[in-house]
Amino acid sequence: MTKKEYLEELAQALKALPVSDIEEIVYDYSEHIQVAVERGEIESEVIKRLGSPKAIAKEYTLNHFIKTAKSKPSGANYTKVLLAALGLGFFNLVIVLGPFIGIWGVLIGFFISGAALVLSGVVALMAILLIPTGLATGLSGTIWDVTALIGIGATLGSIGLLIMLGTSLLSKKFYHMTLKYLQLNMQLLTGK
Amino acid sequence: MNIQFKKGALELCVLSLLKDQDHYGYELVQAVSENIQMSEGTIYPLLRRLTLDGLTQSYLKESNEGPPRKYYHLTTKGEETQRLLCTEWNAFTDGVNRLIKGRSQ
Repeated sequence: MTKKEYLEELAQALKALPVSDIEEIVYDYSEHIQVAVERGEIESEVIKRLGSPKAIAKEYTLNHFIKTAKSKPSGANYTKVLLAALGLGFFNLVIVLGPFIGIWGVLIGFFISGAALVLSGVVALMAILLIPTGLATGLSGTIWDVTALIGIGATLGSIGLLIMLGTSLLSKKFYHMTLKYLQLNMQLLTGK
Repeated sequence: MNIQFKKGALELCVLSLLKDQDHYGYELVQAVSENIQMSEGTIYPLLRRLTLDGLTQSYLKESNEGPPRKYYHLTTKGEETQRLLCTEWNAFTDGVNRLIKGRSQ
């Protein structure tokens, strides 16, 4: 690989970073190769000893994300750290993320069933409005039908709302847990 | 060797090299790779992290030949960290060495 190719590949692999950072980093490696060549080393050998641009870029990217997550702690920023660390082979993807994705899946499932119940409640109530038009076959405008529909609609709707409320409370708790857990992983990673 | 372990050791090596004198990247890479086997490119991410954490400062200095060199200077915080890491390292390796000797007897 020539110096030009090496630096281009490095810049490409660093694309998650701000442009000014990329320029500085590429400068460091360009200086290194140039100094080595001036000292009489062979360009291709210096480049070989530097190691793959992709591996180097992963290291910079991880450091960058750790710095961002420290100054702006958020789930998204911790996740970026974790993904960058996974790229460096620090943990096993399935072990770390498997349970979390599973639990989030269950929570989302609960939320959707809650929403579905609310929706069916609304449909039951709306059916009352359809009785005078005659579109709601099988239903007559008797007081019994109307009462039953109101009862069904209100019951379904309130159960659905309760499920949605409960799920969102659980999600908030679990979000904080996830954040703590990611923070812990980051501390292990940076040794602080 | 364990990545985390090697990283910590590398940090101590670089801080120690900068203790007496400012150096530019190539010099640091040479000095470390003469003693430890590693991918030479891994020194630069470390130098950048040390600078961002305030353990080192960098400045450009013109050279008689070729491009200006980026020199690294150890800050007071860097000196303190070097001392701390050095003490930890000695305590750790002393312990490991004692255990190794104990086992082989």
